Amino acid sequence: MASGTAESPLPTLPRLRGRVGRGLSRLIQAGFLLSLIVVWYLAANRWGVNPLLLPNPVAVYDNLLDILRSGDFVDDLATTLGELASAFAISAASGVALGYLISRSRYWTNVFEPLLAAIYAIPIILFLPLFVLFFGLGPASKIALGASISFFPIIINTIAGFGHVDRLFVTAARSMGASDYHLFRYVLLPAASPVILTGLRMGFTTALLSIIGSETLASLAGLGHRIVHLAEAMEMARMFAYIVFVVAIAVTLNAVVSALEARGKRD
Amino acid sequence: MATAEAAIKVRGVFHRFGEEGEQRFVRALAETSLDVAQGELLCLIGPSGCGKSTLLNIMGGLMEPSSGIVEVHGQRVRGPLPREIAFVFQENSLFPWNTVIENIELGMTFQGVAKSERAARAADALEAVGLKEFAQHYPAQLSGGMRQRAALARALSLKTPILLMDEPFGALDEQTRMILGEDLSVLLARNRKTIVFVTHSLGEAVFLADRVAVFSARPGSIKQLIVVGEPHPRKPEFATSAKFTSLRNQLYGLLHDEIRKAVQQSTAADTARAEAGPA
Repeated sequence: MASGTAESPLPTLPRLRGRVGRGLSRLIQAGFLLSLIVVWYLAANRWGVNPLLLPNPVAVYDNLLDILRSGDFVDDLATTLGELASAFAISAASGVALGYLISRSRYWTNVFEPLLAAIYAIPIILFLPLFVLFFGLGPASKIALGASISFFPIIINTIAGFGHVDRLFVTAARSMGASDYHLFRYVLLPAASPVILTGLRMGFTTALLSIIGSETLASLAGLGHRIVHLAEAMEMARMFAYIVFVVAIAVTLNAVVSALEARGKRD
Repeated sequence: MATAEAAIKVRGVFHRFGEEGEQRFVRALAETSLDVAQGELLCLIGPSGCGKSTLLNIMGGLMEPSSGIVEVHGQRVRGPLPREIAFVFQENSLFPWNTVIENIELGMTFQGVAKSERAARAADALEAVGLKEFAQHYPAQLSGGMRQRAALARALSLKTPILLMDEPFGALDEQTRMILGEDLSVLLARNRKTIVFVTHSLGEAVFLADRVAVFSARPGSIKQLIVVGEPHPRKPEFATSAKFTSLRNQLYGLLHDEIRKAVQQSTAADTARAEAGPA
């Protein structure tokens, strides 16, 4: 447990220094990204790198504006986000529910925890051809793959979260007359939720990565599909613009999910 | 209820962990019988592993004894009795994700107290232990002593006639536990409860108890019952009186041999384990 006591609030000086330090590191991070773009610009315009390998960043920027203005991205974005939402809904619901059931028994925990951890270590993307054979080239195979991959971090964290609740909390609650519902709602769930939320965030990220990744390999639509399609047509500037767009979407989604996780842990 | 009736009756309670022949087999508690009178504060004291905490958990229905029965107010104990018995545990039994006041109200939620009553009772309990200003703090923001005050407030708010305390001040430093002991004595004099209090501290036992049950080494049984006979609330001066010193010395004499025995037991067990090879 934390050692801070109410009698001695933390001095404000280290906190202030922490804030300044964080500002500085943000500045360095921004500077790093900026210098990457500068190097890119110089490589494309001054050092004569083949524009088929590295398009001009200005052309990429123009393409990005065009993509956003024309709404060219809407169908592919809808496909990818739809796949992501379905996959995550399936893996979150089944991972948390099954994880809770397994965590209720010491025996089943001992049986399944190592098994799930072992499967988690396998690159499931290897089975993509199988998923495509079973579910076709459309969204169904992406949903199945994304759900399968993100299922494991979610169920593993759920078992760990529910499985390692301090016995004393349970004993104390029972001694005060807590019912099964009370125990779940007020003790097990809040004790386990930080670990489960971390599992859900990891599951969401892996679902996003595997869905976009599998779209680039075998698909009919989606952002990954669009990028590969543009590469095959040698429209490099537009392809780069789409990559920037996908990166922006991924960063936004991860920021939102991390914020939700942090908020869930605070409550 | 008849006044002469004991609040807690322990009859032939015996407890073991594991089965005979297993490596983890332990006779924790030898057959024990004991009456705790209404409104009495009984301290259980003894060497580590003598089964005093086990007996407390059995009294409160948190553990089923291997044999024997416990009755509380004439009713056989078969599980927790949240309306009769409240517990204070050694430490960190407050839920860290709830504030102090939420912890206290949650206890009453579990017990089934009407929502309208909870806030007032929680405020009263916090006031009684002197933590009114810390209602909105989280346990991690409090010192160890304050956390135990909060745990005591949670138990008091349940308004049970019986309080079972398992080394509640065991993790605290000597000075903090002295102050908490004095405050506890004042509190308990105000609302007469039946209390069983497990402790390691000789001074704490003499200072707080009406009677002290001294346990022998494992398998523990009550070696002797000592009557303190000093009215509550106990004054700080009691701790320096000749009576206090002589009772403390008497306890020390009773316990010393048992503690030696317990230490030898655990050394012997370690040796046996080492000879048996790594587990």
